[in-house]
Amino acid sequence: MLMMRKLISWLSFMMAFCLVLLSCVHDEIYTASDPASKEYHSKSLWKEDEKYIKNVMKVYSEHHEEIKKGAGEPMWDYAMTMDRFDESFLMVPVAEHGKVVAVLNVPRKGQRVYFTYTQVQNDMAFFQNLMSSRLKRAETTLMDNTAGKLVCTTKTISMFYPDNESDPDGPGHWESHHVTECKSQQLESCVGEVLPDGTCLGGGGNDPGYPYPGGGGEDPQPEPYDPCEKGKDLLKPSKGNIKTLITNGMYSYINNSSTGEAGIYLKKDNLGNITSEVAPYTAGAALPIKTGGKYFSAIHTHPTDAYPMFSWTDIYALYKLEIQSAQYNEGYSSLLLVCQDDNGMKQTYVIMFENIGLYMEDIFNNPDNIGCTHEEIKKRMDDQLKLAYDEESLKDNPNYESVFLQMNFGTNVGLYKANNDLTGFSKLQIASNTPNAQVHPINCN
Amino acid sequence: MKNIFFLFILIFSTQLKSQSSIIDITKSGYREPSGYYRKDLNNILNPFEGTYLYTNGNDIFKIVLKKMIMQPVGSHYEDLIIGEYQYILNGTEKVNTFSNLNISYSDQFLKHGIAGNSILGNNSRLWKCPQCNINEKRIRLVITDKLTSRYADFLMRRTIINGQQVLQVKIANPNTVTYNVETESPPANFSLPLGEFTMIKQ
Repeated sequence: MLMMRKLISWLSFMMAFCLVLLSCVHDEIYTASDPASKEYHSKSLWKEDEKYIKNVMKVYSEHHEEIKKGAGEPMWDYAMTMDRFDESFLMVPVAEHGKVVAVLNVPRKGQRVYFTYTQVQNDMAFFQNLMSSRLKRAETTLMDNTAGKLVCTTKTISMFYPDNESDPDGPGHWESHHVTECKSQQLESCVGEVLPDGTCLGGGGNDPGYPYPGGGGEDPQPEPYDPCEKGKDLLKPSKGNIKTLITNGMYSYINNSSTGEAGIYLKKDNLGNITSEVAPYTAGAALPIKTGGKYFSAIHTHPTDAYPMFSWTDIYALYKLEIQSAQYNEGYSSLLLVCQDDNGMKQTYVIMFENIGLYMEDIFNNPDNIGCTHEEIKKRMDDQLKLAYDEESLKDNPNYESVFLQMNFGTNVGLYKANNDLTGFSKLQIASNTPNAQVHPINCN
Repeated sequence: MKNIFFLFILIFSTQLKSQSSIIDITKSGYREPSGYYRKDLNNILNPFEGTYLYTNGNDIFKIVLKKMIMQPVGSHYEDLIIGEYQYILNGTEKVNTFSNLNISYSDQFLKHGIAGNSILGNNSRLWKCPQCNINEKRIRLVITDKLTSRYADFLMRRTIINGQQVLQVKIANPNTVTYNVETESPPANFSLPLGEFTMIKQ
């Protein structure tokens, strides 16, 4: 009997010990902000545009039945305006029982404000940590405007994790979390829920905005280019007129050369005139992509011994085309790939930046990449994408489009595919980031 | 009492299982939680270890490859082939990275001249191999040109030719590069040998 008591005591102690260990992986969440409360007391670690936050709260409370999508309530005390003090933008976590389930972005455009629900994991994790009761500190705010155009603001917090949860003042380590917001990149036309790939659910119809009580000033954000319109411009005879260039020179290069790349650089002047420049063939090497000046796009081939889909450094090339383009080409960049698929069919793909999703800056600021050069980040990201292509290639019917979309799910990189006669494009999408996700083409019309 | 004991063991083992994730190197690791381990469960990488030499007149390309267990790569771990190389062109040494071979970097994949562990199927469009045995495994590594910072696929197959152990190699698909026409010169070409060649095991 005594033996049994001892054993039960020992087991009880061990179970309690295991529970303590398990608690290490759970943040302490508290809902200091009562969703029903009308009082606003900022719990952000930075200075915020409180006038804008209060005005948006007023709009939300008046129209919350129309605006609200799904579960949770905005935690207004944690709203952040990302260093913008012109009553132009805020983001606020939406939480249910202390768990962040979405982030509500509210940009102002003229006299109206627009409510957009996003579910970008990185942003949700940032706010979840901001709302945590753990010891935390604000890190330096990073303003990335090296190109002088796309201005991105990154806010970073560091959370303290004690080595022993029962001794919160003892030794431990700090972990960083960040959120990035880029001006002129908000999806303003979606009143519903924006999926991580930028898909707008709900909304539509009339102007989905709500009158802004503060009045506001000039339109704080210019209208971004629509990717489908950019694709159409590439094909129009009066604009890019790229069909003949692709079907003549590039198709034959792929047929006749097992290595190397053919390429065409595209330029647009300040009057909107598009001209092309055929690049010399590269033998065994990759086409160097020209950026800056009037260059806004490039078309390149992949040989038949490369994957028939973009590499990650192709995405990086698109980023360089965008941030180094002339002011009149801002938001107009694209990168095209002409290749032969596993069925021997020629395909033309385009990647363009969408108006929502994680930015390249988020990838540069990923904890794995802190301290790495861009060359090292390119090498890591290229290999990760190629590893996924390698794994896919072991299947009987590899689908590299799906792999590309899975690996870039939640980012602002959009993938488009030309139809067989090169007269139009479709946007390729997957509904969710799951293995073997089916690709859905949506015609640009 | 037995029931209590088994219940405890069940709870405890469930908790232990949730602490780590080990996957085979045939899997990319995408979607795995941070801290996972891509392990060479079937020792596919082992036969590729060694020193290999390619000579063509006064041109010499020599590599040394080592298998490393549970190496840090970003926020997870992998069994990796790492290596370094020497390239002599027309009798002049262009580059020699052998002194880095035994350095243990905080990220072994990023820093070594040659690194990787990806498995290629016989029908991979990167390098088709109709002559390969059905279950034969080839590997894709990444080779970084230390002179230009460009990198390319380093594909390899172990086989025996005329009784000699050799490494058939294909270096291809250098990475895409960009340059700002207003502020930068055109980037240098990948300067290591490209194409297919056979290296003799030393």
